Amino acid sequence: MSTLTVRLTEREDRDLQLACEQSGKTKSELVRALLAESLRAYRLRQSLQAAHAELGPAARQAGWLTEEDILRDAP
Amino acid sequence: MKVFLDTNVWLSATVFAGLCEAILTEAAQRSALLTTQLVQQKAHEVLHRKFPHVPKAKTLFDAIWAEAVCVPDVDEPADDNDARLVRAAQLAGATVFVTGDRRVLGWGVQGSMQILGPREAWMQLFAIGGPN
Repeated sequence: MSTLTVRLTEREDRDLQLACEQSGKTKSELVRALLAESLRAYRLRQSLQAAHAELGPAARQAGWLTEEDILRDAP
Repeated sequence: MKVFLDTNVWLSATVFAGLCEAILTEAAQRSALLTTQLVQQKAHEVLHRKFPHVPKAKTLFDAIWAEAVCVPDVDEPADDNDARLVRAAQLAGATVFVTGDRRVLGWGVQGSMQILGPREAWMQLFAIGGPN
């Protein structure tokens, strides 16, 4: 495992400490879990945005104008 | 809660922002999104046919599809992919199968799994009062 040093505001540190107490996890455990969750959501959001930017205009040119068009036409 | 999206819902979410995208995102964030390789295969066929001039369409789809939990396909009935997907979803323990296909929607409930359109699925799964 690598080590990452992150500066926290007093508020962030207090919130993290509280969350650790509530979850029974150490700061490292909790931050790793939250980071994994956030990165997954971020990755999916980026993938969707990239697909929409590329395929949305192409779909309109190909006659798919709305979600309903795809739901009706695709298998 | 486990949610299985039909190919048409995957494609809709991949092409346009909207309700299908919202269902996909919410289910994925709850680690409740199921799929099979048959969905990927069907989606690739449609993308290839519909967007022959967008060579990276399949790659864009795959980046999204990879966020789902892939469960085993079933082989039968070999001549009905829709029925195969519904059966695979049921065997994987899906609670909701989301589709825009009217024929499949007509199948209603399969065991403990409901087959719903996107709007009904959203209302049942994620709207206020849903399981969340």
